[in-house]
Amino acid sequence: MSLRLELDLEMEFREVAMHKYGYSKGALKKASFEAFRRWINEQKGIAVVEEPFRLIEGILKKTKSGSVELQHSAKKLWVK
Amino acid sequence: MFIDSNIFLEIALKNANYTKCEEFLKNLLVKNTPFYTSDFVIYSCLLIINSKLNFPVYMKNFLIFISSIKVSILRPSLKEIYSATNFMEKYKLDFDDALILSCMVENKIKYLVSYDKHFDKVKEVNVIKP
Repeated sequence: MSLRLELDLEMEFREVAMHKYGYSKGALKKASFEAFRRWINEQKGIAVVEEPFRLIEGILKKTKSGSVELQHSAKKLWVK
Repeated sequence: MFIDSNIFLEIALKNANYTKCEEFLKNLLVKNTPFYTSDFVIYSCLLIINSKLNFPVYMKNFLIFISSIKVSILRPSLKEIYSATNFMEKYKLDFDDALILSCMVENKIKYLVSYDKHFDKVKEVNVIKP
């Protein structure tokens, strides 16, 4: 896939990408992936976050079960 | 590589292995290694989160997490669901485990990331415990 951007937009994209990912060849690739992923998720109505693990880390820590035991308890919930 | 529910739940529970699970998934992301789970796994996690916390915001956060880590979600066909019943008989597995197995075999996925000991007897896939 290749695409051509208007010069102003391309320069601005390059500047922001390199500011974020450093002045390397991979910076544009990383920024492009991020932009595409963000756009796809926006269209789906799902937000994207930079540190996703923080969203779920410890949310069930008050539950006194192992992860496998908890996983298999889902069967009872399906039946409900 | 297929990710079982208990890997996501380990992080949510913040149990002993949660850092290992996080690092494992982050490593897949960094290396751009394709990894998969199934819609059944997602639904199971959502049902558990809802039953324990009873606030949709936690379910939303789980879905944002799933979306952000770029895991591909497989949706088993009727053939895979039927095949799961054969694995139930072959290995005396529960339906949820058998469905993971049939889904992996159909999609030619060789490695299962899971702490579930029920898969230790299974010959079709290799189990990785982070």
